[in-house]
Amino acid sequence: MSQNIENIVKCRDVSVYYGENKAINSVSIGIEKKSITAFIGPSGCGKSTFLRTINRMNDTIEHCKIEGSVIVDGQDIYDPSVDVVPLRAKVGMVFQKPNPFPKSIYENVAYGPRIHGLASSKSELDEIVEKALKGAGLWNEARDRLNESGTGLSGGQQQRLCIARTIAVEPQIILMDEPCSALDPIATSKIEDLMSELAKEYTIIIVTHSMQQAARVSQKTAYFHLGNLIEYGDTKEIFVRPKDSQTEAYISGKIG
Amino acid sequence: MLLTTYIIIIITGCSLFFIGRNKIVSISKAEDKRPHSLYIYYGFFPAILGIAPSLVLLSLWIGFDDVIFNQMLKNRFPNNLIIDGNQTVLILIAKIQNIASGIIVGKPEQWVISLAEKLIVWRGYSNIMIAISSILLSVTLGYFSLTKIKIEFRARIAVEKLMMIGLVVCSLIAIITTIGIVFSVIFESLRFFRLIPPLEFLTGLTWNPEFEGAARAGSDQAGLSSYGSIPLFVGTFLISIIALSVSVPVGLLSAIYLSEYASKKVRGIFKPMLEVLAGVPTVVYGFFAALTIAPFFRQTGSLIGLDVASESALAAGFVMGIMIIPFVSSLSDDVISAVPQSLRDAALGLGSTKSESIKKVVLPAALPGIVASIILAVSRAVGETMIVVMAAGLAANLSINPLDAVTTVTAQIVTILVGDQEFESAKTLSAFALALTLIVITLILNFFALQIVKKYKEQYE
Repeated sequence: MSQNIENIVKCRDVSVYYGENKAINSVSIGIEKKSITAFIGPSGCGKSTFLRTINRMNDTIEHCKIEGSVIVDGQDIYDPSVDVVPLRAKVGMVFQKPNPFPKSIYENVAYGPRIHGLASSKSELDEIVEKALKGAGLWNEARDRLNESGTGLSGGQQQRLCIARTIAVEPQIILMDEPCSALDPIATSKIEDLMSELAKEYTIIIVTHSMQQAARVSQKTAYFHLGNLIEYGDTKEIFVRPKDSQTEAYISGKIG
Repeated sequence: MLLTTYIIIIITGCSLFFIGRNKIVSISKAEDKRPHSLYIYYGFFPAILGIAPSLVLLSLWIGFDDVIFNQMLKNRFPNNLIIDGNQTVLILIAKIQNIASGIIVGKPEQWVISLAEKLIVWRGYSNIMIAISSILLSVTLGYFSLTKIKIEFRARIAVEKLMMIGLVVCSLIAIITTIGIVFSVIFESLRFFRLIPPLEFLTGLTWNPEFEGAARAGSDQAGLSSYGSIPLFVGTFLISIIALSVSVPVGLLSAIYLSEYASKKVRGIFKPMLEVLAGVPTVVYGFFAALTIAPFFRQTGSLIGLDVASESALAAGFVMGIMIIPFVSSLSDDVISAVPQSLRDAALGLGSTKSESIKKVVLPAALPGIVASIILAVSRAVGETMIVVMAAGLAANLSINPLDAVTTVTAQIVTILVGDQEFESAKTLSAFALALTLIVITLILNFFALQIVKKYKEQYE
């Protein structure tokens, strides 16, 4: 069906172990470029773990072992020759709980461009910061308080600051790990609007607990259960005509 | 006598507990109602009232009866006695007390013996009186509290109030003791400053305390005494700076290793080992410094043509630094580990290297806590005595050369107050003035440490 659309992330037979525990069981999936893909499933189904394999954030966890291949933008990211630093610049991440650095708003956004040397002068850096804050829809609220602490913002603003911080590095893919679970409905809807806007330029993969959110924002949905990828397809299809009985049970609220 | 009184009061309290509890049980059975509180509180209420006030009375009496006796003794001194100064009175009273306790030195005068006999009699009366009055107090309060026990009496609330009073008293004891120490130091220092002008003490460049007794004995050394504390404070800061330049980098870097790089297993071995360092008595560090490190520095110095004193600031400061390492590393490790993992994830997720995330995110976030740990280390270095006494010497040289022998404030206090002293001499009193200055400096340091810790807490709340 989607032969003409390029898959920017290709996972083949990916299994993840925490020590003896198998958290992900041989998952193969392709993620379309410049679209929103949602990972849904009950708690502990491995959707967050799987998300974190895409930018190797699982490296920070002791005893975590990964099998199979994850190809991002044509490169096997688990190849021993791969440097995680440029990989993570290419695959940015927004976390469940807003986690701005305890620095000023400006410094939060400027952090990424600084460590990757994206700006050669102060004015260039100012431009990058402004562009990123505009991209995250935070510019109007933050322009007059760039030197105030990022931790002083409201929860929704903090999460948008984290998104601004991520897009300041100009990644190709943005991973979002339940980005709205700590936010109220108004802040959530702002972030959802923002995601649809960002999907014009970036590939977004979002893990979410909320099926409504997945239905609202995503073009494709993957349903995980107990470390297995049960069903993957167009969001409209999955929510209207799930092929698998487990998916149907989850979506209709019988489990989860 | 007093021990018996204590036991009687405790027994009274215990019986009050059972009487009170039984009383409420039988009342509630007779009236067929549940009391306001659990039965046990109706036992605690009379027990606490029966024990606590009498024990306080007893302790206060034991603490203060000597004051009253001393005054009574003083009033009975013979009229023709020549008294020069407060000292003689204190000595005479001590003599009388000793005789009363059966320690007789030499042949005391007749009036002293008769006063000692009087003191024995007074003590006897006083013990009987306090025993009777405290037991009476216990029984009266116990009886009074028992009469209050009724079905609707809120025993739990009453007990909670009494317990709170107990908590307040305990915290007051700590505060009052501290205030007492500070005031005693202040008063003795004021006496010192009556003899030596504060300006001379604070700005003088020579520290050479001598007994006034030497002058009276005709020693020609007496004229040389001077009380300029600058050399001591310079010595203190010189040694502290050496100690900090050892302990801060080593402690901080090991904290970073432990919290960020070490595996759980390595951390589990290293951290307790580092903390053992903190448990080694300072006197052990002292002879380590004096017997191992100082000769080592001296030999190394002579190899490269430097003249190192056998007791040097460098040796003392170096060993003191090693002693302080666990304070810096353990506290810093705690604050670095307390930086939320989410911040590390955020930094790594943006493509930081591990060292970038530590330098630019983790350490700045932990900085206030790290600074506080360093300030605590400073307080520790400034107050350290034993290593200095053993390894840096006692010569009050005004020198900032780490290879010289210097001395510190605390080491001087020790040498001044060890052995026989004259209470009224400027030399003895100077110890208090030094202590006061040191207390002020440490207080200022602690104040800053607390300010920083407070600021640090606000950041994450």
